[in-house]
Amino acid sequence: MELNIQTNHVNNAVDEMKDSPSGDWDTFKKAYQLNQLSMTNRNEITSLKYLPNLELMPHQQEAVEKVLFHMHGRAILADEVGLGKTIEAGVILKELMTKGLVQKVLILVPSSLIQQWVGEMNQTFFIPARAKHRSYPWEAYDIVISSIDLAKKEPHASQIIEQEYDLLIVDEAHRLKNANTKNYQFVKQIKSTYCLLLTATPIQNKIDEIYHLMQIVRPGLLGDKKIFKEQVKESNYDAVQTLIKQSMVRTKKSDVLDEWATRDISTIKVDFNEEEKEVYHDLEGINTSHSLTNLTLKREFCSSREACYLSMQKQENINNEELMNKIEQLPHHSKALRTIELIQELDEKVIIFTEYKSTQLYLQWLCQQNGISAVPYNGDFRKSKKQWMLQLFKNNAKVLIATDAGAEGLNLQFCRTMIHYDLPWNPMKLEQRIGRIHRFGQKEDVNIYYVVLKNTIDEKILHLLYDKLSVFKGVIGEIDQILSNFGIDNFEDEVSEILDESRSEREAAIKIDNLVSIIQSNQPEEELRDESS
Amino acid sequence: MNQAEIHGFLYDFFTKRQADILHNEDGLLKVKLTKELDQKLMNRPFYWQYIQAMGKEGEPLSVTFQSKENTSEEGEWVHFGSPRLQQIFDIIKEEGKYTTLYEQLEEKTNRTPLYPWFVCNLQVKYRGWYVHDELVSLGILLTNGTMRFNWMEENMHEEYSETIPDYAYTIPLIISPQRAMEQITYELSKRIKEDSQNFYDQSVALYEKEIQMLDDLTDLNDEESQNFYEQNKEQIYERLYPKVELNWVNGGIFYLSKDKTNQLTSI
Repeated sequence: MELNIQTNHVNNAVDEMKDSPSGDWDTFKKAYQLNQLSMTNRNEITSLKYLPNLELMPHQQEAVEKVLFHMHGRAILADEVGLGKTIEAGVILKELMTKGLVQKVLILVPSSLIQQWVGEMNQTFFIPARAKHRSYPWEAYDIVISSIDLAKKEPHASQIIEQEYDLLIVDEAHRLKNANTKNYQFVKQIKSTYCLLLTATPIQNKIDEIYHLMQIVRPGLLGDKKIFKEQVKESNYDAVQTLIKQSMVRTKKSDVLDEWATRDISTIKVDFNEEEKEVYHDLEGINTSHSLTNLTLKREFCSSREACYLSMQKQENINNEELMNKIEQLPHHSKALRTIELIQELDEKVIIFTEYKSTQLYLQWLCQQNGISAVPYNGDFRKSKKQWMLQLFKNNAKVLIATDAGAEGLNLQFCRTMIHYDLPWNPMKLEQRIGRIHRFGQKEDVNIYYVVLKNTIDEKILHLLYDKLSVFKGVIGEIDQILSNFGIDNFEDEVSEILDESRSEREAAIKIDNLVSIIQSNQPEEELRDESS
Repeated sequence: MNQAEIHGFLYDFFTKRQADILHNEDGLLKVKLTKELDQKLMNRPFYWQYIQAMGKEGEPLSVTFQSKENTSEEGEWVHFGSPRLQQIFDIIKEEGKYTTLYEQLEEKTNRTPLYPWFVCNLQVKYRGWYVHDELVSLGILLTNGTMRFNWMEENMHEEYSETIPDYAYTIPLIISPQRAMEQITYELSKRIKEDSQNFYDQSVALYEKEIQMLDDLTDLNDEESQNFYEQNKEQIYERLYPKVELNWVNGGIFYLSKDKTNQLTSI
């Protein structure tokens, strides 16, 4: 057999020539050039010419080329956190639009990221994407960004399903991995010529999840689910891998690490003063209905007096006025004071992360007392307030005090110093925090500080968990993901349970070791593995 | 052309087509459309139908186009990828699809012959394990069949006009455009086949792999799975099986002087 070359179009065109109006030379030349522009040249991403301020990293360029020239515009973008999936998606969108292939676009993202997507599309790519507004119907938008939670609700869902989109983008697509959910059922029904699913969690590990995401990107390709699973079990393993590579782009941080700014991590240890030690000790002895509460209170106290006090106030069964009075009497918090010193030593912008809103308030007050300009940032703020706070931080303030909620997806490359005021128990969360500043586009080295109270739960976590998990050096992704394969759904719960139930630190250490080894044995470049084997 | 150049492009487009420029500042262009442009751009066929039925003149719309931030007024935002710009591109592509043009001569006294060239610009569209288009420009001298590649690149800076210059006359065609086209597709197909062996092999291999996969994964025991199988087979074929298509971009007859003709045929 040989290559089939279709030529009938050109023959028809010549026949039409005689009866067609004749264009002038200038128009003829322009028509020629415009046609050149709209062609897909696999050696070139045309739209980059129109985006002079955008510089793609090599892995991004490669991803975009793969999706455009080999994956026919239907793909899963599964780069690790912070490698710039949004940029990749933006370039692909721009390119398809420039070629005249795409006009109507639906972008589904978590609601916390809507404004960021709108901003990025408009400012970086000159793409007039709009957030869905309640007073306009779906069909009125060319390029609309919405949260999946809104879109899947009626009457929106059926209106969306009626539309014929040219491109569908779903950010954080791991929300679609379960075929029984409304999310999945909904997205599966959306009609679109091109389709990009963005996710940072590795779906390689779970055959079901791959199957379902692939069903969206390439419906039908993997055949019947039951047979698919049997086949995978039997032997057709490589074939499936190859197929998935046909539709998925995945770059890991370690693959591109040398291009990265390095991270410099320091731990600052602080002593409680005598009064604080006493309170901390008293907290260990409180009688509570559930022993987990003690742990929580201790954690909170390591963060701020306020966090602990408020939490005690809420618990009806804790009736320890004496202790609460003691806490109330404390003039300051040693860790907070040390942190203020640290900020004063640093001659640049700083982001502080804390787990508690009351700590956030306290730190802000303390900054103010010390003449340091600080702005808060948390998940409760309305969009406009968030934008405003970021603007303030970028232009005026020295410090941004953030809680984890609401900070996901933020790009703060203009800052290179981060203080972890308290350590999250899930190292994933820590990685996400650091990812705010240690990401592509960061040209300078990044400084990370941990502020830890000696001889407290703080330090315990540091030793038990963090030291072992090589988090300090950088790349650890997807812990929750890995663990969920073993039926452990929430890393944080698991850790608090271990710490709580263990009678000695030694026992806790062993248990955590076990947990860590599960993660390590499953770490990177996981081959496709059948969950039931 | 980049975002900053869109303004000038729009200005040229509308002035060339006799639209009145009502306001012109950098990044902001307000135009009063002509009837023809209104019909092509504004998508209101019912209005024009009605006007025609009533035997009236009709009132073309005015539109403001904005291509830069912070202009004195707001207008319709025009950018690369916007449907409006695409529409305008399409108009130009359509208007410039066919042509008959004559070389402009310095010679103003002697009778000068002009030689007919059939020029065609074609899209070569590859579909298979990769997606790729090429634009090929060819000219054939219609008196003796000499073929010339990269015709447009060679002639981009020449001047051609729609009317034959005074004192010039055209040499009649010996080969018909249809015949020339046949020759071109034959020659081009030969070259494409020679150059794309790797593309062909890779595509077929991948195609077969996916078909194999599909065979393994479907159980053809009922009508439904039979349909499913056929549907997917079709889909895989469309996506991966190597195909090349020649499409017409634009072309026409160009009349060139003997000098220019010699120059093009000698290389």
